[in-house]
Amino acid sequence: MERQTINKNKRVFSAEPTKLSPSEVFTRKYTSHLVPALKKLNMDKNSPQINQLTVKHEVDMALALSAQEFAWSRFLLEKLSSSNNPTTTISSSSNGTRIPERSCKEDEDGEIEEKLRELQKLLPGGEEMNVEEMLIEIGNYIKCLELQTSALKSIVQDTT
Amino acid sequence: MDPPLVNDSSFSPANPSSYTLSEIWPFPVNDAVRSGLRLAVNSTPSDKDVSTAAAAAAAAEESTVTDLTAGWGGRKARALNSEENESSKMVSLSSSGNEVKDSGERKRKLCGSESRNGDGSMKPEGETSSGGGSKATEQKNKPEPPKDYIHVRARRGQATDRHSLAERARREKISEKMTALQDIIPGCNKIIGKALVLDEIINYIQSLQRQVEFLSMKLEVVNSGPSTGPTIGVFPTGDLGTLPIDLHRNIYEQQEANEPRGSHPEWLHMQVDGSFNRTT
Repeated sequence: MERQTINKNKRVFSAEPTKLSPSEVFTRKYTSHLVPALKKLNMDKNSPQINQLTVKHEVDMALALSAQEFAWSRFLLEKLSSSNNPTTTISSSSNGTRIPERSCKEDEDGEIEEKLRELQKLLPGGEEMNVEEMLIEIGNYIKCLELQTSALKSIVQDTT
Repeated sequence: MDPPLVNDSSFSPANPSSYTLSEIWPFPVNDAVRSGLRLAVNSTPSDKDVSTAAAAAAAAEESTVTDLTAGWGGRKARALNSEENESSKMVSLSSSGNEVKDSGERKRKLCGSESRNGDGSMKPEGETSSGGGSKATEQKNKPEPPKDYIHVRARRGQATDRHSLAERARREKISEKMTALQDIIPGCNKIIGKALVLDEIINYIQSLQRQVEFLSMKLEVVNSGPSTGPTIGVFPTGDLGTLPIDLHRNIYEQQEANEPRGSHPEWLHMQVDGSFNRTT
């Protein structure tokens, strides 16, 4: 009963429904996925144990669901749904090491190839695409990541 | 004096032996492209003579090099075509005279199959642009059936064999996309050099991902705390651009029923300052 009440209340309304730029659409979708999920998570938590990876999971899931027109979101969804292993998160695959710069010029092309491969690793599903597609998708991915970041910031700020 | 290689009158509007795109080009293409190409292909055979004459002319040199794009998917073709849209193809047919003036201009067209090479291809790949030491002012032989080929104009001193051309075309596409990426990423405009730009992109993505991770950790703590507050207010307009989102007031009302956990740890009040953001 309570859950139904919550479900009824979880709609996200915009004060200006006619304006629909892509970033707005994405942001709206994202928040309307994430916030109820967080709420649900919160309700389901009976034990005092804090599982931060579940929140990350929800965060990533919301990202994937909000950007379904892009190829990488499909890969992301697959990754999330297939591996419920909490240690498998996106960020765990990205290492914080900077790419070592090679000084020899003749290796230049190989260096660039190396970096492109690195990029591919960052993008979910990037390894399955060829380079040109990947570069296109990376642009979308970055944009969505930025929007996701600002949405998360707003949520966090509003609740503290 | 520019011998008009091609003009509209030399085209036969209804070509009985017109090729359908699907025979020529095995890749999936959207309809706009298909219709554009078909029109272009239709106009071929009568222009053979014209172009042969042109070939003999010393001043007019061909640099039509045909090329394969076997590896390229339909999207690239569409992207290519959106640059070289149908109108430009049609127009260029009749205004090839203008082409001569555009020295060094590179045009790329969509690729055909290998077999097309043998059919009435006026200028086999062997013919290079560097003949006679003339400038790179080449003319394009428009009416050839290899509309479907990738026409990459060879600049002076560059190799024109098929592989390096394919390679070059591919590399150009990649750098094109990288400049597009440069516009997205703040601070990338000033960087020159593919490797550095790529570095920058990688670092940016990593920092964004780390930021998301950090924020979700914070969210986790906030979410499980008791004093999340009875409401989630309106998102400040500045954060999200122009979209004010009004979340329903009661969304967290259930929170109050939870047992109080104690006070928030201090670090929650730490502001996420702008240090993660690279805003130009």
